[in-house]
Amino acid sequence: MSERLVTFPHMGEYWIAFETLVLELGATPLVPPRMTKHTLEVGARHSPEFVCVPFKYNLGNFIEALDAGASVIGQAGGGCRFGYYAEVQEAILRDLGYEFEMVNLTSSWSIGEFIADFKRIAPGVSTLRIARAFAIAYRKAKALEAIDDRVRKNVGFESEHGAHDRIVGRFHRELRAAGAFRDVARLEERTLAELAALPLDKPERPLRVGVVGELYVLMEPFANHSIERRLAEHGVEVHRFVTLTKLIEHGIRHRPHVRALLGEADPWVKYHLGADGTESVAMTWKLMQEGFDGMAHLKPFGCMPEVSAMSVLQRISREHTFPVLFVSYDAQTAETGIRTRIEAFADMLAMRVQGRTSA
Amino acid sequence: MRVGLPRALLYHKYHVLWTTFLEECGFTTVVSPPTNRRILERGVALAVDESCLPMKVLLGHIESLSGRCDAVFVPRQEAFERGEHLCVKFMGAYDIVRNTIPDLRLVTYDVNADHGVDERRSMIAMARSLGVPARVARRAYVLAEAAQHAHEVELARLQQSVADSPRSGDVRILVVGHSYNLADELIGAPILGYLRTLGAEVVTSDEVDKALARRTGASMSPTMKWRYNKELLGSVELYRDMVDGIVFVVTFPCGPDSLMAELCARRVTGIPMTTLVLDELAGEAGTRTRLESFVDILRERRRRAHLTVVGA
Amino acid sequence: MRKGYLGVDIGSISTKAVVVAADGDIVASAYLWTEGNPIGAVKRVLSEIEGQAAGTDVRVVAVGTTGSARELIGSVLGAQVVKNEITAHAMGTLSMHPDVRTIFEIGGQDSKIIVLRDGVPVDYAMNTLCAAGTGSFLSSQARRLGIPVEDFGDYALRSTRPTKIAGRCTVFAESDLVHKAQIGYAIEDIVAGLCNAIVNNYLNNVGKGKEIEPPIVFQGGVSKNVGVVEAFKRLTGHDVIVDEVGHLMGAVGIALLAKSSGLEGDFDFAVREFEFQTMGDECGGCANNCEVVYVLRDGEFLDGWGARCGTGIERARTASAGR
Repeated sequence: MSERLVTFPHMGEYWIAFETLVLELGATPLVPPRMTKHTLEVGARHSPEFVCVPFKYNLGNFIEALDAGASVIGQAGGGCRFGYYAEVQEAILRDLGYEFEMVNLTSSWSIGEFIADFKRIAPGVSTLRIARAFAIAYRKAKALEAIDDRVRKNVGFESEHGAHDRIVGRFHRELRAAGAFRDVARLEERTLAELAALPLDKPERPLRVGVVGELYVLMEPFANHSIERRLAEHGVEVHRFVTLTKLIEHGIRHRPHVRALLGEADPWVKYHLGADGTESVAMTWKLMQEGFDGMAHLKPFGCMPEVSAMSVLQRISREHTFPVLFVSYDAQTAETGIRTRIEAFADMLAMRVQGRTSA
Repeated sequence: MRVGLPRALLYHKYHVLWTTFLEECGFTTVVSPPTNRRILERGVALAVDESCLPMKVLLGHIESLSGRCDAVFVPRQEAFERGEHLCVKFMGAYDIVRNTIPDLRLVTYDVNADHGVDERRSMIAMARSLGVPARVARRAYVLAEAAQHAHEVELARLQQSVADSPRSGDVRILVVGHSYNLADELIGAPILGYLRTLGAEVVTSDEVDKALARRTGASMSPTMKWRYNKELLGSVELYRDMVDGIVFVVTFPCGPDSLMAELCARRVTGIPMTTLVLDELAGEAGTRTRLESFVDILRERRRRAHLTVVGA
Repeated sequence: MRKGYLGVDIGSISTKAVVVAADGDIVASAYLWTEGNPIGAVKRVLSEIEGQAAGTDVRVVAVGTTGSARELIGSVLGAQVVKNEITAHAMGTLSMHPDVRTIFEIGGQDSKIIVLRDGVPVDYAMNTLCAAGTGSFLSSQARRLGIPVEDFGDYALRSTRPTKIAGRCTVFAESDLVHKAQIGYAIEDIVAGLCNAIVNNYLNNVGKGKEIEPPIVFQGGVSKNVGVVEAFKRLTGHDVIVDEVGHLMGAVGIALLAKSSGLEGDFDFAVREFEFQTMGDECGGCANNCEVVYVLRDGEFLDGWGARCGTGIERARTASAGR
């Protein structure tokens, strides 16, 4: 048999962490080709028509990776439809004639199953090695998130256009190569210092917008048409709270996490809405009280947990005249439509602030 | 006290349990009428546009109960058994209703086996919070549970009778869909009725032994967690040799159903299947054309199969 | 000489232009069909504007563009301000109806709602997915029924019992419409049903969860349809204002935004004399294959759009230089 090449779905720049994970397990990673229109086209062509759009992107990644020679696919999942992706995707890919092994990490919230799944990715790997591989990948994901967070808040105010991207581009290259925990920590520290040294034209009180919603469209700029960046470009400090490592931590400590969220979402929500729905409500309510200027709520078209959250968000928005931009993504979402909406949203926020100060 | 029950979602599965329980607790129950145009229109107007059709129907029913009772019953269900889930709309229903129609008094109970919140305790707690003595509530639950069980046994017996009986029409069709869709006056009833006027014999996925169907469904699709989709998938396997064709009734844009129908089409072969996607404004004309041509195809297949046998 | 501000609103269906004087006076206005050729439409609209402005003491010192072809026309005219049509409509409407609290807009391709309080836009929404319930939908249905879209409103008003039409999705609506026509419903009732369907669809999608309070101003091409206006009045329970110059609100708004930007520059109507050529190309720099659109002025590269990164524009520039 030829070499085992392990692939995974794309999500933002997390491929750097996933690649490290596979490498450290002692297997050979195959990073799926970068997301392009072709990814979505080929994914959508073989997907059920009105399945949510992350399914189509994932499937597109898998097809492109299999065409590039991948033989093992690692797929994860969450609390809603996402948890059922892997099985249906496997059936579709097999019908297309691909030969591969699917490792479905969805079911494994127990440590034992989790380890067994990793051993399927890299047969013969020791438990100790799994722990180390997971830890370093996790550390890299944390570093990605720390840099990303800083960029979201400041890139809209950079004095020299492209300055943030230059630093971040180098950070990604070096993070990919970093081997030891110490190296990752130093790199993160240095990059944050470099970012902090960039000159900014940032007002004392910039417009602040929180971004909430379904995890995949939140974390994959290709799927959300770079909405965070576009908001930033209109002079907005962008805040986002859902990250991969937080999702993992919340998955492990699910019950206390849900209890805490329900506390924050009080009095609007009494029970958990499923997936990220409760969090969307909790964060919107919290940020509104903290004086944020508005929220952007992103979801794949028809995403039920977020549709549930929407009925609450619409009420909060109406009763407190708090602007919430609702965006639904599907395979046909047009770039120009998104740009027009974001520009108009940012304009409106700016006018509200002007209206308040001049009144 | 008058408690209103919306004739939507799980009412179609658990009306025996709920009405028996509430009445044994001493409440009067008021059930909303079968879905009509007005109810649907109000539901569409109230719900978030991207909500699924059954959620819109629920909201319409709830509003129609406003003023006709003292409180409306909207349970919240997450999981009946460990490791198994319901679609998230059942988790969100109570809070969706509360935020969509804020001035309505609601009563609710929560079922979440994963967190050890079971139906019995939860229903009794609900009754207690409404002033029902513990002893009465406990007894009401026992009676309600027994009545529900008897009801389900009867449904399972129906399935067996389908298997044992000779066909009443020249083609027999399995209609697969959630009970809240198939039993709905505006969604499923016209489809079942039209198939019958075409001369087809209709069996529905609701007429199965639910526990058996869930086990069967689970073996066909090991990672599928949705309780009711397991029943639907299982019903396909249990009935496939007894019917000539299968019609999936899916409401737009149901996530679990879209994935299940896809998997089913790939795993179950050799039997004609068609999927009807319904939304609140789907014209009846298109639906009828599709059903009619599907029945024609089934008849033609039977005729040919018959010819082959005779000719062989 | 008074200072004047030129506002141009180039939509998929129509092109509108106005010149607003510094004191808010509209000294010139023109409206015509885009006919799939925004540059040609702008040249024609400018010649009308120039004629009207010639007799006044107003000189154009700044230009604003809005609408779906705002970037292209912004480059062609050397505009000081290029803004989306939502903001432009809000500003234009506010200038004429300072107390407006809700703006409905149904245009050719999209529909939107803007909620304003105390003269400030505080909330807005746009249609999420498809073209159902917009102007293009209405005109395609009119074609199907064989009546001119301009007569649609009158037909609707003659109806006594509007038919129920599925309005959420174009495909559903069409099959429903054909079916209803075939089984013999009166054409007036079908048309009235369509108008109701459009308004219902609008209120259930774009207007969902918004506080719709009067004064309400209704704009966009569809606002010319009295059947839809009546349906809006009935279903919202409020009066709905349709401004005679409602179609110019976007152009007026962008002219005012050009004014308040404080930016000024030379503008010459002679821009009409240049030869503009738009080119489309697939970048080919990576697998994204962005479709790059660029414009040449007398054969020279002027500007380009549509690429996810800078590569596409550079390629277009190089390609046009080598021409």
